[in-house]
Amino acid sequence: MSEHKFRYLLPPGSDFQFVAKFRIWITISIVSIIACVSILFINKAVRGTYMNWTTDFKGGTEITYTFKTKGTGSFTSVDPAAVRQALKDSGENGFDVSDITFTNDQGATVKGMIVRTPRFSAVQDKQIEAAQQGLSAAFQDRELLKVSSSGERFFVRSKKAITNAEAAPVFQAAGLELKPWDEQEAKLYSHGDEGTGEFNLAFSIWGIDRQIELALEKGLKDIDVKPEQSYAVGPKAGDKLRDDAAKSLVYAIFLIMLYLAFRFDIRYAPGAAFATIHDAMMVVGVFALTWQEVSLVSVAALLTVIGYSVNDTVIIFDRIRENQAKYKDKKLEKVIDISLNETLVRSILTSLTVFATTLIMNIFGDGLVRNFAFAMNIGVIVGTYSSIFLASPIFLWVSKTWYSGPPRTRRVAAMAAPSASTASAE
Amino acid sequence: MDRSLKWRSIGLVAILLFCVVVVLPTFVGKTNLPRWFRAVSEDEINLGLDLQGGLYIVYNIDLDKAVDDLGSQIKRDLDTKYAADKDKPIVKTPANPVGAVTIVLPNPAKRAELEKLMSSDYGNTVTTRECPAPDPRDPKGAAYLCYRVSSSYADGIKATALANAVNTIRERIDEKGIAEPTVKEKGDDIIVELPGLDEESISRVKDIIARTAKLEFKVVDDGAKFMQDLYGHVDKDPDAKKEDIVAEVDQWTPEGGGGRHTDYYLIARDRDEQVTVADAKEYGCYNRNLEVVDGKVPCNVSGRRVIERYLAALATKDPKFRVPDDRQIGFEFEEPGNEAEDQRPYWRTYYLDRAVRLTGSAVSDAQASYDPNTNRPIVLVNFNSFGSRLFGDLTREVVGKKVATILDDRVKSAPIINGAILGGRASITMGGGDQQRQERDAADLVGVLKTGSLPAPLKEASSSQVGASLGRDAIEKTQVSFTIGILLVITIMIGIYRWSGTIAIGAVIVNVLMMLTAMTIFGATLTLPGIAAVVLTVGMAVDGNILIYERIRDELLLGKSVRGAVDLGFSRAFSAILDGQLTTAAAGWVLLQYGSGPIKGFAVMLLVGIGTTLFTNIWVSRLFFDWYIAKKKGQMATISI
Repeated sequence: MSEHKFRYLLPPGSDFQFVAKFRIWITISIVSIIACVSILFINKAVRGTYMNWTTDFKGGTEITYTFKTKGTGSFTSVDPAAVRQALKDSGENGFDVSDITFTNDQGATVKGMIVRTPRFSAVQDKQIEAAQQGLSAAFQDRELLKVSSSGERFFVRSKKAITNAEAAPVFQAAGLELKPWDEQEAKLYSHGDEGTGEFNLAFSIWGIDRQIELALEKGLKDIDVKPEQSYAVGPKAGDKLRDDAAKSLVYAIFLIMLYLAFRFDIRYAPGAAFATIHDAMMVVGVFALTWQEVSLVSVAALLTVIGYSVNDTVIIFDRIRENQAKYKDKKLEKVIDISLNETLVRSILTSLTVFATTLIMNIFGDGLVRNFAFAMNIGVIVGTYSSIFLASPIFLWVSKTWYSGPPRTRRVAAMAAPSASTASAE
Repeated sequence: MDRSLKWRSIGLVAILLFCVVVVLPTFVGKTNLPRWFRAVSEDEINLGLDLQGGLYIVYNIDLDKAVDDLGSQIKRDLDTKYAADKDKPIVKTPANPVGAVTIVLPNPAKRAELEKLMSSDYGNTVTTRECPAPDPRDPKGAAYLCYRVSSSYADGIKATALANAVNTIRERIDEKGIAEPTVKEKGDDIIVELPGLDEESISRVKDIIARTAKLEFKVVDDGAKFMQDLYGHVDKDPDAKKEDIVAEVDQWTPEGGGGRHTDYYLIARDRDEQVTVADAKEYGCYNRNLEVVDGKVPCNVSGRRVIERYLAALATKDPKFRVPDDRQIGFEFEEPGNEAEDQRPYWRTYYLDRAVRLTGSAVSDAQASYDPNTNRPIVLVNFNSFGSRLFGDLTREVVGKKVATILDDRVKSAPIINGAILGGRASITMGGGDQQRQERDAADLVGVLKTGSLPAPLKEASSSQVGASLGRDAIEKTQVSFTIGILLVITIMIGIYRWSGTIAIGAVIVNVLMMLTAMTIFGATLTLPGIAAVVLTVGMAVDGNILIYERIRDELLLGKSVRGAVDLGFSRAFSAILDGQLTTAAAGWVLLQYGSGPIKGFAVMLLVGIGTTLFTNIWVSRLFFDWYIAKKKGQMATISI
């Protein structure tokens, strides 16, 4: 034996008693889960929402602006406080400002600002009403038949035409800036219907990015403001994304359990399910506690954590199943402990490599990638813990509680041949 | 070397060679590769919008306006019908609820008649609603009938509007020549992706995409002197030849008699040209990802624009060829039938009377059907009572001529009017081509008529606009973490498993290479979360090797020979590896179903990674081990693991 010179992560032949202290582990886990759920409710009470939902879920608009000095045209950085003040002066609330630094095409370091607002549409309900009433009042001579709006566009049907220039002051009065159209565009969007002798007119309002841009330029003297990128989710789209995210979590867990029940047998499923839900709850809890942003990417990360956690559990279960056949004369507790010890090095090593790669992403990445990596970091730790300390002991408990005693022995034997000898455990 | 090892080695070399050839354009840039190489492989990995910048919009159909318009149409119809009546009903379209129609009857005795009319004409369109309190301005003692557009009908509009909107948007974008657009339907949403657009174009393009459709009918002025002259000129003009503009003759004899008609038209095909950046911006085909050579960029100029450009130049040279004010040139995009020699699609002109004779508001419905006599596909069009009068007038006037159906300034069909159509129902026979082609054309025309008769505007549900520099910055940052991450994995694996650790790293490198190859071949899109999935795969892929190595160590400790231990290690670890990967795949598959955009990119990468990981864990690592063992002749006492 000594001819093999292995480098050991742990001294070989480890004999940790994992199952014996099961009560401690399960208590810790249940307490942690309760703590995680309480954090959600504490957040709801203190901060208003369970978690720090991003625009993905709560809807709204987020725009990244960059700033250039007027005249020289070189990038400049602005004080976040000045940006907040400029937005406040625009007479609207609910803005959230944070800064961002990135390297642009020319290799220059650019400091920008991310402005978030819960608004999606550039027009507010009261503005729609004001504009519609304004149009009806101002153009009585044009015999208006119908005034309606959809999103940032207004539609007017009338017997006589209204030009863009004529309409602009009406919208101005409602606090809206009309997009000017060149001749070709005007023809495209506003045209007479010679069939009915009516005019179908359309007017379009500048988007919210431009509204904020103007507010910023007004507040920040001598600075050119340019939207670099934007992201907007309408209220309905946000709801749909949230539904989809919730559904995907449920389906993923269900699908994995189905696989386990099919590939192993039903006794393994509760342990894996509990471990998986435990891991998901832990990640959610840490996100809630640290007030990390929860975006679509976080949901993707959570699903990956679930996949990873089950993966970890399955590999241990696989070994338990194998060892049950091998050590027919040993108690199930013993078999499980042997299996856990045998797979321990693997569990630690794999967690280590996955943790290392995701930790690096957490440190060097930014935005979405960092958010993803953070979830994975937590997921790997709790996933490894739960497969060792929770999943297997629960399997043992399920086997002993529901699958022991004479009447069931045969059925169990039929389902999973090697387990018959465990029926008389304890 | 035994035979199997030899063949497997050749197999691996072939796979690696293939992968390198496929991914090389992505890393070197296809323009830096020699021409012969590009003939073999020139596809680069598609970068998602989050990496290359661009516009991503999700649209919904805004049904309210369409439903509201339908209410107005009913009002117009009833007004036309009772225009001559003494105590005619007053029809109102209140703003609430959407699509509401209120009929005020000054003479309550007419109630039954109106009720019957409404149920026969609009039975499947409207339902009754509760009447609001009467307006004091209404005549005293009037009866009220209150309707609104039924929700089942509105849902029907939505389904057609959705299907047609995808086509319409695609055409509008194609007309601009915007590179690599994606327009697709997903549930109730329409998703539009336009990579590489700059700020300015984005704001314009949004308006163009979301504008409401306009359907018009105009008379084709066949045999006009203008076109005849143009026909004679183009045939000899070298400028026209240079741009492949061809003049052709069209002749028909209407079934209703009246002799032979002769028409002249021009055709041209799309051209790939090098145009100046300014021109490209004007055309709308500018994209900041395009390579600028000598101040010019490649641009796909549509055949329509080719003809427009040519005619404009010709008109300035010779005033004779200026289109008269009351005429206009219409364009139709045509795909040649199977029998045609040249299969490339082309644009053709129509010389149109500028006056709009009828609009979409005259059409109440359209459906595809078959001619009972010939069994050929036809389109049945129903006009509303107001439209059928206008249509009757028009057709009586232009028997034998063609009437062009124009959606959004594009001729969609130009059937010959064989006789006056007075009943408000017309049937349009499809042109050339085989049965299948005609059926497709009929379905397209039905779409055009339905879209145009009740335009439903598109409403943005969500949008994402990414600046190119932010995307590039993200790629760089992710590259750094990828490099450091893989170095860490190398350290851990070699630190513990020494030589065998090197094998694992070799397998991981093959794995990443294969992932990128699969992405390139399937044309999948790489997003920022997708790159994260690659990094994650590197971390998780060594799991398979760790499982195998731990098994081999166990077997060696039990006193097995090296070869025996390796064999057992691989075979025993297999089921654990497979189970582990499949559970992760389940999570990935669910993500793929629900995710969109960048998340979808993550799911795709995760799934691809699972496939390649299984392959490299089981097959590639095994091959590396066999090399390792085979190198040392005879019985080995131990291996570096």
